[in-house]
Amino acid sequence: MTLTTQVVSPAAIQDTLNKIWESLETTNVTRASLFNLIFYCKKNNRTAYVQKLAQKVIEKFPSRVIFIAVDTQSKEDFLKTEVSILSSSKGEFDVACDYIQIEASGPSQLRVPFVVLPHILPDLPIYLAWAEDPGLDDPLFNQLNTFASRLIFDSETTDNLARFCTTLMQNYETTHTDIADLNWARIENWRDLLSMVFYSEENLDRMQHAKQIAITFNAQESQFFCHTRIQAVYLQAWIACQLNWEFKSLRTQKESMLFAYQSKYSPIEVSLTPILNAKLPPGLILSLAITTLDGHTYSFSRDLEQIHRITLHSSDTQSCALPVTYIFQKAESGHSLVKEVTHRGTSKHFLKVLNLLKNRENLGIC
Amino acid sequence: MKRKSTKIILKINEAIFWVSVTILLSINMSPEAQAPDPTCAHPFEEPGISGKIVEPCIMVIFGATGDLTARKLMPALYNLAREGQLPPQFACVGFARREKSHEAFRQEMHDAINSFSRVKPIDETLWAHFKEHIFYHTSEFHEPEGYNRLRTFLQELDNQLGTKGNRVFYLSTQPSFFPLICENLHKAELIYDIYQTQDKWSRVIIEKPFGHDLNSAYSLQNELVHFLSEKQIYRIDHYLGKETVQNILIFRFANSLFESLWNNRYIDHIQITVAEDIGIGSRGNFFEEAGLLRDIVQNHMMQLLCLVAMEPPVSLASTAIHDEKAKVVQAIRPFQESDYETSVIRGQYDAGFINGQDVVGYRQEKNVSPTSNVETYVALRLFIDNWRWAGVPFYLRAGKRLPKRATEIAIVFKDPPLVLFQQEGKRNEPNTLAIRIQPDEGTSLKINCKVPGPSSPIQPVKMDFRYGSYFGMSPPEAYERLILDCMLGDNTLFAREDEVFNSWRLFTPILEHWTKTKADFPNYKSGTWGPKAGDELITRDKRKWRLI
Repeated sequence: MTLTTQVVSPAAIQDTLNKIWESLETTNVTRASLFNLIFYCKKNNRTAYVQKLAQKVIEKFPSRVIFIAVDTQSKEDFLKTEVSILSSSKGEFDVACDYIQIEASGPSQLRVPFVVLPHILPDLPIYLAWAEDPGLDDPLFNQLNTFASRLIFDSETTDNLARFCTTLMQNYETTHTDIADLNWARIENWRDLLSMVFYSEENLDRMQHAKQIAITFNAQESQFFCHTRIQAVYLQAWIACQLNWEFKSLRTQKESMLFAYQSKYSPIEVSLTPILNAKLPPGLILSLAITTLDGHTYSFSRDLEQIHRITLHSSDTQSCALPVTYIFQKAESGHSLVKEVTHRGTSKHFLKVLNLLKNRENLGIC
Repeated sequence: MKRKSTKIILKINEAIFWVSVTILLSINMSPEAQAPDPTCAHPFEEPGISGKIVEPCIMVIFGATGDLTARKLMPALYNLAREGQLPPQFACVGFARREKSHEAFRQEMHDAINSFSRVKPIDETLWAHFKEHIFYHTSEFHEPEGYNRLRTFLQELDNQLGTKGNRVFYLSTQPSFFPLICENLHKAELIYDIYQTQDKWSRVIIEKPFGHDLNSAYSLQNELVHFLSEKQIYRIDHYLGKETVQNILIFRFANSLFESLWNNRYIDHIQITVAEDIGIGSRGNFFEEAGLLRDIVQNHMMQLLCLVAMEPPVSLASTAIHDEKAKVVQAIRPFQESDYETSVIRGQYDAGFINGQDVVGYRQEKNVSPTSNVETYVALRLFIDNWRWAGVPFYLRAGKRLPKRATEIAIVFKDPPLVLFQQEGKRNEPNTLAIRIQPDEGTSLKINCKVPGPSSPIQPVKMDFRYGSYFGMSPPEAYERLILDCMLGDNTLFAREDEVFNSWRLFTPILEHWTKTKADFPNYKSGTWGPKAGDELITRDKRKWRLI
């Protein structure tokens, strides 16, 4: 909830914020800032979605938000700034934090870092949520990148996943700044689930003897999401990396992507098949079926009515086990970003996935 | 790997099929018998990032119709389920005397969750699934046949739900039932020998108090170890499940700033306060037997003291942390007879006012003797005779019907060695670090500061961190964390036997002295900060209680 908004000149940002807070002194509003959270996106119809994400984060973690929206289409030379107070309106106290919005035209965007820098709260981490494709050689990204303590990307914004992975790896290797991707965070539930199901030695052994994996995902696009395969690509890549499978090939067959790997026991084929379902979030993984060399099958399927419920049917040639239903934590919009913000460091598993997927030019995502 | 085949009935789409089910029994060592090897990471697990994996299990709650189940345990289980932390192969069985159907018990628990859960209202979609995992079993605690029926019922649930024989028994009953229940569980073969049964586990959570003095604690432990290994006993102290209490270790050992000052060179004294504005409510019978020293000081406050005073553990392993905590209690200087009247003060509340409203005195409460000698207030001074704390007094106070509810630890630092800014003999305020456990959880630091202007007066100011301001979300309840830890086989946040014994060893002589001597009760009015003698305990040392 925005308490108040004022358009100001860049030079007056801090003074205006101070005045707003002074005016709130007699109220029950507490000012809090856990970290600096810088959002960057282009000014288009996705901007409102990214702003909503910012609101979701500060509801959990009040922070100084600096929201940058660049109008790359505009030929005018403008840079507008406004300040407001965002309130979470939750909990025992009414907690609020600073929100600084910077809107710039393409020609003015190089002035943006000079507006951002003086308004970073010292001694607090700086999280840069880059809601655009970092594969582009963006001078603004290169400038903001230098002082970020953690970079959070959304691979949804890329047209080329292989290039995205290459850029992230290169950035990590050169700057050692922690990196994260929201699509990676979005499959955390699946990773935890597989970890739980294949926790025992015998189940892990069976998994290592997999010969076929079939994943289906929701290919229905929305206004803000059109790269619906990425979560499925990440999930299969994670399995392959963690089980030390060697990548062999990638091809497409009709609508499906087919990955071929080699384990120390056998070749493995992984298929990613799109399914259209307008009621479900884009990219959502709907099912995962694993078949092993000795005929065991593990079939995970999502309840299409209650999408946080996943049922596992497992069987072998002789018997079948009782179906088991797992419950994922209910996720709201922005949930993945909130989780990524709370993690420290860079996931080593994610780095392995990036390594596997970089340079696979035939990933062709959109 | 052993394989055991069994036939069960499985209902699918209203039809009944006979399905041959293979239950795979792992031959891994039981978690209690074998310490985890951190070098053998599972390929799908990423330390610090992956969620914890809870094995399938059934939790049986003894005393399932009691207040604790409704107010704390069932809401905790519901919230664990809501956050996807419970395994799908999970069941909860309420065990109590009253006749009740599964459905009636489920309805009661539904209402309880709606009233007491930290997240309300209940998610009916989730509940529809979760309630299918809640059951009720009627039996007297002393009736062996009831336990045999329980065993059969749990085995049926194992077959239906795949709970693999793993058990958590939560004893939410009067302490006098603990040995009886454990004996009957043992006789019904519901408690497994950790060295002989390696494919499944059973653990027992025991509510406080663990004994009512040193001898009874020994005797309870002796009775329990006939049926259980120490590794299977989880002595719950819900304070340890509180986020703010766990944060004491983080605060101390993840910040070099404070730990370097955390000793007798820089610290003048430490105050620990557990104040409640409520009286004993409907717990008259319990309180008449227990008293405040047993109810609060011997367990909760000693845990807080240990966390504040312990040395850095060699690792975050349960044993390492327990070892350091146990050393603290061992190092506390035993009270001498001469201390009984001067260093340990007891009090009992009289009628008075809380928030401007009349409240009755302790002796007028329900189920309390009109001549009761039971304490509702304790203040004491103790010393920890080790290298770090030699000469630093620890002042502890706890009481009912004090002006407000507040639990905090205050570290009061010494004055600077050279008082440059002393004004006309007036001392500056000492730096004070206050760790607020509840409510208004957070940490504040009082420092001295120059008031702007030419005359340079010095004014103490407070830097304040409030959990609620920073982490607006409602934190998990203590019971959620503790129940989950027990399922995971992690007893770090539970009290170990030596911690409990050492604590009783310290306080039993005082309790015996109090039994022999009649107190001049009541000695403080409700709504005040305790008896005059409580203030004198600290003013005698030229210090004063913090006004919280």
